[in-house]
Amino acid sequence: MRKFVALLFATVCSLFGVSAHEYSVGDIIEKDGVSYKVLVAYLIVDSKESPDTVKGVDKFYCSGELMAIKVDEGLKDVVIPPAVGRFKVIGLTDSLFYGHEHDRIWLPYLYFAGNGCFANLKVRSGALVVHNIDYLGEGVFDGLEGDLIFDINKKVMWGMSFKKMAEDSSFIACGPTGLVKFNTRMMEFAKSCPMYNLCYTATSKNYKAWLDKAFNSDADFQKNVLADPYARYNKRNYSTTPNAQRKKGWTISVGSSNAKGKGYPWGSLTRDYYRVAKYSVINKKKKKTVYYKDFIPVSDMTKKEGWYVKFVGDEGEVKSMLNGKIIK
Amino acid sequence: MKRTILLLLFLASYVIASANQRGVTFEKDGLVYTISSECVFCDYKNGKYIVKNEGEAFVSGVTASDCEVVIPTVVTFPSTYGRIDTTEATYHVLGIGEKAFEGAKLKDLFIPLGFKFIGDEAFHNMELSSGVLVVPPVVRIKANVFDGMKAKLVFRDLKEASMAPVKFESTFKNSEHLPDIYVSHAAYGTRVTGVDKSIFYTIGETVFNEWISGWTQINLEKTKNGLNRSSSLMLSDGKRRYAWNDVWIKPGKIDKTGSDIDLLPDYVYECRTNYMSKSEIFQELSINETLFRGKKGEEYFYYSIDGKPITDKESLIDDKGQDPFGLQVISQEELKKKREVKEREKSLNQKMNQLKNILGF
Repeated sequence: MRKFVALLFATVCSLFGVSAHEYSVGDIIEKDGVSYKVLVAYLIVDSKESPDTVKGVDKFYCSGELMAIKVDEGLKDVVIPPAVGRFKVIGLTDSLFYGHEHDRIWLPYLYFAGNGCFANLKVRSGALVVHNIDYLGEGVFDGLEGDLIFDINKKVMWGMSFKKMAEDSSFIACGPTGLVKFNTRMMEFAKSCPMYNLCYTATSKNYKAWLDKAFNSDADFQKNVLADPYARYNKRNYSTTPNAQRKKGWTISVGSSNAKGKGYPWGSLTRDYYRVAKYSVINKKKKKTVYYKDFIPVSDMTKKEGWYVKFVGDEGEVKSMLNGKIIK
Repeated sequence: MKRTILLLLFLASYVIASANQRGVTFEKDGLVYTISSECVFCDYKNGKYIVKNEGEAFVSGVTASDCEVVIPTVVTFPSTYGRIDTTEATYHVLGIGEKAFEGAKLKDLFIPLGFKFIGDEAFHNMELSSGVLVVPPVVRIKANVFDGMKAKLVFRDLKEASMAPVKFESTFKNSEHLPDIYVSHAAYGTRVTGVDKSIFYTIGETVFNEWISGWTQINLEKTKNGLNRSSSLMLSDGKRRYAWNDVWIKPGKIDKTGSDIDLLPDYVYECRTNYMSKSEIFQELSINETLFRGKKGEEYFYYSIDGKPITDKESLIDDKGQDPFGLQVISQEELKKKREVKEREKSLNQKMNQLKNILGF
């Protein structure tokens, strides 16, 4: 009976290729008035279950990256969480908040914000707080009604975020109607901002007062940054053999990268934004790294270990035993 | 008659001398000043040395309201201290005294560069309709100066190239009623003492320049009209050198740091002549065309204009018991007694002579 159940499970798994795939690239997820699009999906493991080696196909979980593509205009408070399920929110599409009016907005650390993302937005609390955003599109804050607080602690690629195209096709300066503010302690990151000569900074009590005002002195609202219940599922490195076996098997690291040439977003549109999974696979014996687009753990009950791995790259598929031996 | 008056005036200008006006208060153009020290200086113009009075004062109050107030770098006021060629002395404004602008309501206030101090609660509850008070670097800023002020406070800079960092002395101690305090991004890194810089907001260059534009204009004009401080006073041939045949007098201040910032230490005069084995330091100095007088302790010393000490002081005293600078050296009673003694000596001598004649000596 036990053998039969195991065989049935393995068959189902092998039919789907991988286990626990919740969403695919292009899927739309809706949560709390915000819609997200899946940009990329990849496999991760649970750090608690697998200290070094993944011992079965059922130990893999699907994770990935999302882009917010729609916000309900009727929302009073908008909270964009750091992650939806095991999927991390990494960006905001073009014109996401264009012409909207909300009381408060919570934004997580983001990889990008598209063109005109906050243009003509009115924040009733008086200020929009932007935590780290790596890349900014064009005219991102054009006509933002209120102050703009950059609560950042890393470098920002400002691009044309404070410029927009005029009727004669020349670029003119644009920005919020209020003040642009930074933490004085992060002056080194403010220096590269096009608004540096017009901006204000404060620190300690004064800076906290700015943030408190932006969030209507609601301490709970500011805790949204911590709301990532699936943080333990973010382990992206795993091995097909125990770490002690240094000359056998594969070490796999999963990540993602921009798919340039397929709608690279900066200066273009984030609607066509592509991210692709990137698996760095190291042969432990040869210490050689090969990059693949996909990694598929496959259940095979005919083998002693019960499963093998399959890598998919530009040059096709490669099947391998867990000990690193290629299956021809 | 007219000639006599002119002659008297001429003589008066060289002879009249009195104590300095330290502590005297006067009002001019909506501001009240207190004189903190005064001395005799010399200026060289058109081949001639002109002896004149200069000194220091600080703003101790304000009488103006609902108007723009510009604190000048120099202010003039009548003075008769020492020898004077003019009827007015020029005072360098060095600071703002305790509670000077307390509760004042002004359109705008311009503080010039180079102030040495701002006293306790100087701007307490002051209102500026311009909304911005620009404060240039000041050597010492005392306690609760900006407490309750209704305007943004902008420090133009926290340090001038030539001066030590600004010393804040409990300036922001009472933090409940502080105005918003701004410095430029660039100035935030400047070392200052006595303040936690986290209370400062910083602003970009464009905002900063816009806020201080009025202040800059006023101070540029002030710089153009600025007064060059005279340095030393020389008699005899008037050449600027340490010639031992000359009389060389240099006004200066020994205690520059005085704990009382409002009333600065008095001037002293370092004097060298051919007849002195070493320099003398006088607390007071008076000069006329033929001699000068220095005060050391409670004693006065007189010198001819070529530096020779006058030991027979009594020869200088006139019938009223005053020296050539108007100082009452001998009291009226003493003078009366001396006159009586002289009269007695005279009558005794007369009687002796009469007796000699009678006795045929």
